[in-house]
Formats: sequence, C-alpha cells, structure tokens
Amino acid sequence: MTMLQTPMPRNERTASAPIPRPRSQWINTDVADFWLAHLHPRWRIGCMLARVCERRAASEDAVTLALRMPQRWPKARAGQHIDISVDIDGVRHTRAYSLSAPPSDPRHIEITIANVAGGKVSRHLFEHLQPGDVLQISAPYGGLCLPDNVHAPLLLLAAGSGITPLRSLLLDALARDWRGAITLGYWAQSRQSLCFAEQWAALQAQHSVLCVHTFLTRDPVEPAPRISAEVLTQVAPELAERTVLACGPSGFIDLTRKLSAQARAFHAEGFSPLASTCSDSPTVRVELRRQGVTLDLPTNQPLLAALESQGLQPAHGCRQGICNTCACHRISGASRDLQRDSLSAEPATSIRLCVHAAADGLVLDL
Amino acid sequence: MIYSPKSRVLTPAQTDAFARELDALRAQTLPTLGANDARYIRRVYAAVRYSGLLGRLLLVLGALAAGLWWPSLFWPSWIAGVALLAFSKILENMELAHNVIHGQYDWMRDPRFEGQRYEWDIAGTAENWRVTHNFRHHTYTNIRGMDEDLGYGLLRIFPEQRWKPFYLLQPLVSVIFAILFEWGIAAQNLHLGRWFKGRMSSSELRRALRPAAHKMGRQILRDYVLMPLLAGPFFLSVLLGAVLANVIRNVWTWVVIFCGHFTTDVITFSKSVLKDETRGQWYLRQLHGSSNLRGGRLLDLMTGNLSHQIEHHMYPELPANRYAALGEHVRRICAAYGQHYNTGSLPRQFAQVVWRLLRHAFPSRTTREFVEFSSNGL
Repeated sequence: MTMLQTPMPRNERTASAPIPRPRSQWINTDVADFWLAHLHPRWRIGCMLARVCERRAASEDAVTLALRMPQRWPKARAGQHIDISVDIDGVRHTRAYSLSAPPSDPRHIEITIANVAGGKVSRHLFEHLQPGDVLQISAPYGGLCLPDNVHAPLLLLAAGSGITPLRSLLLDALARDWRGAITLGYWAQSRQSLCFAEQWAALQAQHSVLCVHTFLTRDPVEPAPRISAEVLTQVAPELAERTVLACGPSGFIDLTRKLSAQARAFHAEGFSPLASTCSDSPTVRVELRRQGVTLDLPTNQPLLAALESQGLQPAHGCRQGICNTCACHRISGASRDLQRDSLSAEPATSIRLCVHAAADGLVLDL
Repeated sequence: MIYSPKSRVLTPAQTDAFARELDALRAQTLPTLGANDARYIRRVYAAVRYSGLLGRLLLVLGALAAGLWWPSLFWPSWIAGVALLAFSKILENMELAHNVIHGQYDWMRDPRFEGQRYEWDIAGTAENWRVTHNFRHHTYTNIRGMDEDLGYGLLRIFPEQRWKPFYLLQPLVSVIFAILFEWGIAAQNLHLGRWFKGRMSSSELRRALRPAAHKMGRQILRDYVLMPLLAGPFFLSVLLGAVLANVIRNVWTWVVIFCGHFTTDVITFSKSVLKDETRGQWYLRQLHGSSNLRGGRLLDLMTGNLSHQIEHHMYPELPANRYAALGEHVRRICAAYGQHYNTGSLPRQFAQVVWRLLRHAFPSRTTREFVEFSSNGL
C-alpha cells in the first residue's frame, strides 16, 4: 500500500503527471521506440524503463523491489516518489510509489509494495514482478524532506504504507549522522503487514538517537491504540521541540495534524484509496492544470457545458460523445461518465468533456 | 426523418426502442474491452512497421543490387517492395490510424494509441482529419451542405446536388481524385474554394496552411527525397516505387470510402433533420447513410474494418476489431425493425458507386419516392 493517489502530496503542487514526451517534429518517438525495443529491452526515447534487480520480502504482505534506473533518470532524494505504469488486461494503470530507502547511488533505488485488498496495481506488482522484469517509470517528484539542521529532533509518524517515505528519510538521517533525537511511531494493522519488522530493533541498537514504537491496531492478542494525544505524549513528551513528518491515509493525517498543533513544524503527506467515494455535493472543485485555474463546477452537468458557462472555451465538436475532439487528460481525481452513469478515477486517462461530469478531486490537463 | 426506400417507417416509440437496443449493445461491449483488443492493435502496429521497413529495404537495396550486380533482381524486388510499402500504408491509414484517431483505443491509456496525439502516414495532418472526419462527417453524416464528404465539393454523387456543366468532366475528375486522394484529404479542411471566392483572407489561409504544408513537406521529404537518395544513382526506380505505393494506397482508400457512403440505396438528408433529432433518428441516419462490404477477414483488415461502415458509424468510438461481431447483432436489430441493412460484395457495391459517378455527371432528378416525416414522427 505504498499506493498513493495522485495528486497525493498534500503539501506539494507537483502532482504526478504523465512524463512529458518529447514530440519531435521530425522524429516520431513512438516509431523510434518500437525499433529501439528490438535493439535493447530498455532503450527508449519517449519514456523511461527501469529493471527490477532484486525482490525481497519486507513483510508477509509486502515486497521490496530494487530497481536500476535508466541513465537519463534524474537523481532522486529520500522521501520522493515515482510513478509506475503497468498494463493489466490491456489497460495501462499508473500509481505513485515512494522510495523506501535513500538511493544507494543515482541509478539504484528501492520501493516497497504492499499487497493490499483492492489495490489492483500493487497486487499485480506484488504477484508478478520478478528480477529481470522491466517497468515504466517517471522522474522522481514531490515528497517530504528532512530539515537542514541535523540537530533538529524529529518525530516521524507513519500509518500503513506511509512507512515507506519515512523509512527512506529515517535511513537518510542516520546516514547523515543525525544529532537530534529521532522517534518513529509506526501504526500497522497486524504483524503480517508490519514492514521491516526485524530492522527496527537492529537500527535502534546501532543508533542511540533512534527510538521506534510500533502499534499493531488489529493484533489479536493485544490490539494497540490508534493515534491520540495520550499516545503522542508517551512517544514524544517534548512535542514542542519536534519537527513532525507524517505519512499515511488522509484520515490519519488529518488527526495527526490536529494533535501536532504544538509541534515546532509539521509536514505531512496523505493518500486515499483510488476507488473514490463520490460526495453528493452539487458542485466540486476542479483544477485546470495548464491554465492554473481552480473552479467550482456542477456534478450533474457535462464538463464541457460547465466550463463554457464559466467563460472558458475548450476545444469541442459534436457535443454528444462521437467525435473525440474535446478529449482531455484527467490527470487525477474522479469524473462521472454521464452516458454510462459510472464513476472512474484512474489517473492519466483521456476523457470526453462533453459526456463526463466533474467528481471529487478532478484535475484536468486543460 | 427520411427512410431508405427498402425500410419501414417507425413510430417515435419504435425509434426510441431501436436506439435503446443499439445503446444496450454498446453498453454490453464496453466492459469486455481488454487484453485481446490491446494485443490486436499492437500486432497491427507491428505489422505496419515490419512491412513498411521491409518494403522500403526491398526498394532501396533491390535497386542497388540490381544496378550494381544482378540486373535480373530488379523487377522481383521492385514489385515486392512496392506491394509491401503499399500494404503497410493501407494498414496504417485504415486499420491503425483511422481507428486510433477516433479514440477507439483511448481506454488502453497507452499514449501510442491515443486519438488526440496520433499522427499518421499520409499527406494530411491528423489535426485536420479530426475536424473534417471525426467531427463533421461523423456528426453530420450524409447531410447536404454539412458533410463535406458528400462529393468533397468536387463530385456530384446524388441527384439532390445541383447540376453544373463542370460535372460532365466527372468521370475523368473521379479518376484523378482517386489517384491524388491523400492530397484531396489534406486540402479538405483548408477550404481553398472559399479563398478562391474571396470568402477567406489570404492571411487566414496562410495560418491554416502552415501546419498542413509542414506535414506535406515531411511526407515528400521522406518518401520522395531521402529514401530515393539512399539508392544513390538508382534513385529513380525507388522514387517511382514510392510514388506507386502511395497511389495504390490512395486508390484503395478512395474505393473503400466511396463504397461506404455512395452505393445505390444510400440516402442523403437535408439540414432540417438536425432539428430535435433523437438518438434513434441519429442511429437511423447513420444506418441509411452507410453501406457495408461483405467479405472475409482479409477484407476487414485491408479496409480497416470499414467493410463494417454501418457499425463504424453507429459506434465510431468502439474498437474496429469488434465491428464484425457487433454487425451480427446490428443486422438482427435492423431486421426486427424492418430497416434495410445495406451490404454487398466489393464488386457489387463498387459497381453501384461507378454508376452513380457516371449517371449524375449528367443532369438527373430524384426518382425514388422518399417518405419524409417531421422530426416528431408520424
């Protein structure tokens, strides 16, 4: 469940987007890539492919993949994410995954993937990926960062797969010989889903600044409490001095943000499962990424008509779903197909504005 | 609504029921799109690339080898090269590009098969095609004065078009148009006629011309300059081979497209049908404005499944590799509602097209009795 909905970083404007493909006027990159693929499995000019070097268990339900990135991949730092695209049943799915360790060198990274219920892509990757396989990846983007001052005391709060970016930050801090105290509070459902379980004790033994608390909320013997003011006081009594970095489902983040009001600083990243729940509100906020505009649009009207009534003039043709002229990328969020009355929320999908209505969190490439 | 002469007139309720059945067919098909369809279009893409490269190699290397060492190699390699290059271009234009540009494979989310960004191997830009074809032709199918594909402003195919003496040259014009078809398509959205008549300013034309000219230049440079140059002193045979391959593609696409809308039983409509046109009437217009070609899987492949023109017009957004299967249901639904399903072999349908081109070169009048009703039905 390193699965992060896009645009997932709440404190980031750079949500994941399809890789800008170089559209040369003289070279068709698709044709070039078709032939390059015959020469080498990972040579492309229109996209970037990584090779899976190693696969090892992170918990019973999670796997860590070591990836070798292509040469022109920009260097990533701990805490960042990459988008991974895979074809499942002929359909491309794109999800963001966090680096679960600081990059050992510019071309080697690790991600950790949890096999969560309902996580179509995570499940596919968990079940099928083997060393030697090739994955389509994006450049690294977004993410939480450590404070510059190595003396700053840190409080890292993770829930579920939110552990992955925090682990990379934590390992990065230890590698930088962090002087301030580092406390990690990590909530997982069960022992099976607790990632890197053996590593935490070993790290604590090696580094006196580090203190790790794990909470198993659905442990059959002794279920641990969810995050609360009391728990936080136990874990980090001197909260006011701490820089809090939190990652987890959006509900966890909302709560953590409230509880950390006294903290020195608070940075968080939340995510929510893709199967978006549709609120019944008559209007939703829609972001037009290219124009840099955010609008409130009705949920019961085609996007084309709704945008026009706001004074915009998107390209269009037939207005009835035939001609594809108004097709536009849904970068993230959900939209409702009015002809089929179905809600969809896959990122990086082409939708026809004349037969789709806005739904929660919609970001359009317009 | 006008019905083709072999069809029953439907009540508004029957028309709605007809639409519901056709809509249900789409709804049943959409969730089944998946790995097989993706594999199909990827294979078509690969076939286009392999045949294109092989055809070009045969033309260039064949010319070099024949010129330098084995003259007897010339004709076999030249003929095979032209045939493969023509095959590649036909497959690319019809089964790959035309269908991809419709957005039929957008659901795959593979940028390679995305309708809005695909550019095809033909003189015209995909951008102009999206306007003239995807929008105008598919929305206003067979409506006089709105669907420019009705005669392309050059031919008189239906008696409802006003006769002019120029049309006496039609038999000759048709042949030239077929040979230069890709250039006709490329110029279609430039509206040169309007510029001639002074209804468009030169600066407007220049603006429209720039991307179009760029695309034309790119095609000419690749097929008629760079590729022949690879054969050095034997460039002429490569150039002629490339020209012939493009002409074969032009004539074939012309034949297929004309068979799709200009057979005997196809009818045209006046602009008034658009007023309050219901979904059912839209389907009926697509049905009566299109005609199919009966043939096997090879014909389906080589026509880009426009052998199922009726299904394509009813479901332009569904992957064309599904049309053959959809056709059986569409045919059954049409029979149930007494609607004529216009299909026939390629020679039969093409003979009807040729007859129309010859007959309406001369003054003619509508002879058939059309039953016309207001858009509200009976």
